[in-house]
Amino acid sequence: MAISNDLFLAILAMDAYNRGYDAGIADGEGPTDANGNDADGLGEAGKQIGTATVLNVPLPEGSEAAGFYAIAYEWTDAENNTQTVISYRAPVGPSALRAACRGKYGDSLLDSFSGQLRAVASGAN
Amino acid sequence: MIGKAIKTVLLAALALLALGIGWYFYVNLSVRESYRQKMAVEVETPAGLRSASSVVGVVQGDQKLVLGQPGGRGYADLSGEAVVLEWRRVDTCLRCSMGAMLAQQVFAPEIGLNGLPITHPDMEVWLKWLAKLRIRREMPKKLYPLLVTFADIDDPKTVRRVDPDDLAASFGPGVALKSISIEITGEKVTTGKVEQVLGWLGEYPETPVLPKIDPKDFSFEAKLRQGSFIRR
Repeated sequence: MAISNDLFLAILAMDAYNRGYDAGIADGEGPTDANGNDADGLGEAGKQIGTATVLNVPLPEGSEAAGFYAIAYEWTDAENNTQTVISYRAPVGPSALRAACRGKYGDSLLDSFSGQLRAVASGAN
Repeated sequence: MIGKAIKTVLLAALALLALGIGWYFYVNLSVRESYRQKMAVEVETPAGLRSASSVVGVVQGDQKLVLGQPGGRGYADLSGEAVVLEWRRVDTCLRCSMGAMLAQQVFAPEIGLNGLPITHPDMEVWLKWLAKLRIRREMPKKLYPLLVTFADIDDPKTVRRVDPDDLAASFGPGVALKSISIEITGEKVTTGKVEQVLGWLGEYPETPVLPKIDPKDFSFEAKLRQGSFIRR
């Protein structure tokens, strides 16, 4: 039975909390070099979740210091369309404000991440 | 007028009470300890045994009261740099990523943590033991950090992964990894060695090592970030 698109997007929204630095969960695989036994939680680039694949998109510079994390997926939805989805997290409080307000170049870190995704997808980086 | 004064006093008292409760939870429901962890790498080469080490600072703890996270949050923040081992020419080097929260796994028997979760209720006790331990132990293979080399030290594109079981494949016959060990130490955090050899390292840990990556390139080289070598 196919999962509805809305439910799958909700799962991807939560998935950002389970990957990358400061992930809320560990799978015992991958690098062990920061923030826990497991530096990347359930894993990053190349990992699969349902019909979505985690893309290799670098975080904008300054993300970790601001507590910001984002992840991009290539997802085949219930209607068999392929789309790109971004899921992100930022802590509440001043860090979230910083993350939302400015990154290295003055853009929000989410905007920077989207820009980076577009740049790597078009081969412009 | 008097009513306003009473309101002000009540508000101030409430604010003080809130501060006191917050302080109580901060002090009693969080655990935090810092220590320094030294990692040493020994390699057999045709020219003899070569070794190098690096000391990193670790701040490890557990916050039990985190808004939106009912289970609280364990953390280990690390500052320092990777071990750099060079034994032949400048372009034939072994680099080794760092490891946070490795110590509690390596020294699990000494601190009574075998098989127990990181956020075990006795964390305050074992974390203090860990910070005071002064013994050296070889790391089990499953906890080995990432080993890499650069064909051309000035060109990040030439990064290659090194198989700890087969250093000869990367560095030629007669080269083998003898040991990787870890100890808690009072020595200073190592600085400057990695930047001295990797002059192209930038300021941020998020920056990819390769100057250009494809979002669908899932190779080791494409996924490697500069934070594997240094955490400021």
